[in-house]
Amino acid sequence: MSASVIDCRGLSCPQPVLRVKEELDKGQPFAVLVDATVAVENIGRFLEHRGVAFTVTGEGPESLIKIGSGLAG
Amino acid sequence: MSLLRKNLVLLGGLLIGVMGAVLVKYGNPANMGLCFVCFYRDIAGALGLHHNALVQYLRPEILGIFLGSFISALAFKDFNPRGGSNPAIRFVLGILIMVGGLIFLGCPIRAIYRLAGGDLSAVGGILGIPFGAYLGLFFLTRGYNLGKARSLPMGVALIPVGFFVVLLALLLVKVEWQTPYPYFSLKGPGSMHAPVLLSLGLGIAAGLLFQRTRLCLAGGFRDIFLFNDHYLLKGFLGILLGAFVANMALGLFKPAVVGPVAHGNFVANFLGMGLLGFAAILLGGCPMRQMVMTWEANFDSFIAILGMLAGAGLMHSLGLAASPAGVSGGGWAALAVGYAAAFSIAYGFSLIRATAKGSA
Repeated sequence: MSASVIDCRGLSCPQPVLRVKEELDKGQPFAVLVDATVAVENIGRFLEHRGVAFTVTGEGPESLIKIGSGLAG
Repeated sequence: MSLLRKNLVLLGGLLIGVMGAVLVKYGNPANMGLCFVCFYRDIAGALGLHHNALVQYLRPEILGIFLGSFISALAFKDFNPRGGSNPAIRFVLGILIMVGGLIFLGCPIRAIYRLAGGDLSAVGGILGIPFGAYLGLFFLTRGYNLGKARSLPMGVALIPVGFFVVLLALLLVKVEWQTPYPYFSLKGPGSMHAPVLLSLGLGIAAGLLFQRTRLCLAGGFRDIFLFNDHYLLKGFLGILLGAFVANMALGLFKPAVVGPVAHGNFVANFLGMGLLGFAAILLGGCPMRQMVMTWEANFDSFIAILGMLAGAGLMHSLGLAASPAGVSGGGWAALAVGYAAAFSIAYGFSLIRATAKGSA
């Protein structure tokens, strides 16, 4: 099963975090694709604040952040 | 997150604060160790975009910050050429940042320096920042969006580098051979500056710190309003504390209702910084952050910086910028037009996404 992936590449600060916040309120696990380390850091700080588990994969600026427990693929 | 990483921004802020005081001690205008609005204005003057003979100088701090954040972005792999998110609108937002900044007489960093130097008139401006951030966020949370930036070829990323190398060369030529161009002020704030190498060196250090810590005051208030996150604001408390302690130590702390290179009109200070904050949120970062993002190869941020240089040129060519004497009638008009433009952009680009969602 593949969870939904939101593509936040190319969005200005702080829109990636806003999109994550929107998506998080739906209560489903999902993943975010970003292309700036600042976005990874901002989203990470936000999720830590909310106490939501997440993993970051990717090399360089382009990263995939998987959010929520039991997220497949 | 480790304790060091959590407080890196605080440490960076402290160092930036101390650096500002040192630059003033060695010749920069009072409470103007680093100021992105003032320095873009001086650079615009040096290039001949305006002819106010009091504020013309190719501030080496800015060129140092270019080198520092460029090296840092390359070393830490934050160099990622991209752009194309409505650059024309970003150019206009850059102009609006300078309209607000030159009514207040400073950027958010100088607002903090002014307070740390004992200038109470800075309070109006500092209160204006959350006001402006709130306006920007009102639209951001309602779908405001300038569109996605795309990846760009490496060649395009070299254009801003070329631009700043030209500025560096101009500085070198002027210092070495005293050429008539670029224009350097002989009196006024533009003539007051620390030795070139000190400015350049501390600029490089500041560029590294800014790039690594992601300091951003507009962002600081944004994160508090949106997520109750204090990380970025900590950096600015660091600047305040660092500058205050260093000012005390260097004998630069001079309490006054209105400090040097400032005016005491509370409403103008509040609304000026409010407009700067509003436009900065619509751009995605304050004047300093635009500079750092330029060196992370964000071409849109470079366009915003060109807008700021053009804005400084306009404000001083038309005599609209505030001065220690206060704000002129034209200055108030510029502020009104600036707000009208910012609201139009914010509203217009919120509608676009709402429409797109409706039709989907």
